[in-house]
Amino acid sequence: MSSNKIVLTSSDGESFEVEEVVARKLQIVGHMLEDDCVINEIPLQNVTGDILSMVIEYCKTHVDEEESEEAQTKLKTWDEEFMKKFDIKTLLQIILAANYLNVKGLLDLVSQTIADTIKDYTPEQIREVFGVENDYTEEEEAEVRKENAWAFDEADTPKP
Amino acid sequence: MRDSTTAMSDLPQDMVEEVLSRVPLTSLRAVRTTCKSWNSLFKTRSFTRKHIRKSRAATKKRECMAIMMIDSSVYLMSVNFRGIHNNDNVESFINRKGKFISLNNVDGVDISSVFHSSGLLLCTTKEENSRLMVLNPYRGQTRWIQPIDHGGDCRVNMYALGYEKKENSRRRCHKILRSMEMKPIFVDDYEICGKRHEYQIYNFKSDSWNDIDVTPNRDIRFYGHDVSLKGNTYWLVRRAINWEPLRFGRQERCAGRVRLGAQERFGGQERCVRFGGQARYGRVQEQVRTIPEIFLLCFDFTTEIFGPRLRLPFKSRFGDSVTLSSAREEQLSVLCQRYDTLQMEIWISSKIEPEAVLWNKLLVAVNMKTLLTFPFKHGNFFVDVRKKVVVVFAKDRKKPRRCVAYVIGEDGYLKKVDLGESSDEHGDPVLVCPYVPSSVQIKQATPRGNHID
Repeated sequence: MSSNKIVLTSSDGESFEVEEVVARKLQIVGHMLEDDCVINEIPLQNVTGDILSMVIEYCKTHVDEEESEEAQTKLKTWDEEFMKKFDIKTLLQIILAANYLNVKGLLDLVSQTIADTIKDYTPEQIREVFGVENDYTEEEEAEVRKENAWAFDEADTPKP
Repeated sequence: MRDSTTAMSDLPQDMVEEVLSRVPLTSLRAVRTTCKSWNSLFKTRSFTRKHIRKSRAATKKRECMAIMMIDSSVYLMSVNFRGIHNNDNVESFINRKGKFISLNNVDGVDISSVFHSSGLLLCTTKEENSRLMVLNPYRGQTRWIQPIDHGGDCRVNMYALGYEKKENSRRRCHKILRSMEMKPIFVDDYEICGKRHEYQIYNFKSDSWNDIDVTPNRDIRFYGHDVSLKGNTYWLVRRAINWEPLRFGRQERCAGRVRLGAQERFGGQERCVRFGGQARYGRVQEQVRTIPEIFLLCFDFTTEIFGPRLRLPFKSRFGDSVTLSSAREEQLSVLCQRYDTLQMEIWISSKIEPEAVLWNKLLVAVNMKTLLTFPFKHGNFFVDVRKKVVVVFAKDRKKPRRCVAYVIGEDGYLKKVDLGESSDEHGDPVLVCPYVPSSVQIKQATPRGNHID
């Protein structure tokens, strides 16, 4: 059964032939297969070929997730390296694709990666990088900063 | 031109929440200052719950958080135990993550001590008239509490923060316990009332301090740091060595008015007894006992009484270093390092209530003598139950200004991590507690009464 091949087609007409077990990691595909098991070509309209290829790469690596700590650590290292390849723009596209295709693990991974990127930024940088509009007036912004007066802030790094 | 998927605002709301719910604690201020909708997200209960749940999950998987004081600054530390055993670059495992900052100049004060209870901190300020502040660092919220003026007759020697658990309710009523050492009272050179401790409770709901009559035992001494667990506070205590009138034969009849003076001697057979202001000597009937046993004591914030003395799982001897810590929010751990062999043992509570405790041995680190030439002085520590690794925070003996963390495993594994410089040569870095964020709101004082939800 696992040797069955499924063809996934992206919005821009690119086709990928993958094993059924890999395709089933995309839960959207899994549901389609359950509804009608004779499908062997699936069009995916909301995702482009270059993004779909990355999602498939992730699914291939995560196809059998072992419980052992060693395997988990290895997978985690792969995830980290995999995420390093992408800029913010691509990450946002992958997160949309992971949401549409319903790949829980990838959704978690990309969300965490984006959150980790945020941690090094000032509010100005966050707005710049993520295209968020500053809708505060100066007074309002000062008020929010004051509200969070005793929050944790990035530590000054200890002097060597 | 941006295409449609490059902006965060183009993501569906649930995905924006998915991302922001993973933002680390130290970035909350920056994130909340980014835009209005992000700020209001952190004001919704369902979202903060999700965020805290995620950061707790990350804590279990990736790293632990702890609050630590070096000099007068309070830091958020991250301790990552994953892979620590087989990695030489230990520096990357223990880090200063964040620092408390205060933007308001009025609040720009030095902290003298910090106490913790379930995500809330109680700080005392380093001022002549020390002030109290309760703080939820997750929300960045504070509330200043008016200490009562007690004149020069006493000094506060202990604080603890806890909460009362109401039956059938998740609401917590927070309280502060403080103990004050009252000066002896003399009338015409006669000491009519000796040095004693009085206890008071501050209730957040009524915004007032009240005396409570709970003297646990007049001759015990608290020492080391307190540990807060499920709203109650635990201390290590030992009986004081003096105050033993039974040993003085006839003089004991005057015990009600007799107090031992400061000049007593313990090495020999004699003690000096202050008697109506004059020193007299009494022959001690038997050898002065060895240092009394250390035991555990709990203050129950619901009933507002001290529990009975609880036994530790080992016998400590003079010079041994014994300290208390918590593990996983619901267990106590106690560390004992022998002064002679430097052998270290760590025990974890398998059951802990104000009136009862059961212990399991977690870790014994032997052969410490080949690795250390001294016992840890106070040994503030942090333990990972699953990995059986302990991190002890102390000063580098060779460089008394450097704060260090020693990572110790069962097989005698030991590594040292530098945490930075302290201006104080004598004080150790103080680990306040393992830290888990809480969304508890500190309601500000209002004329109708104040309380914490």
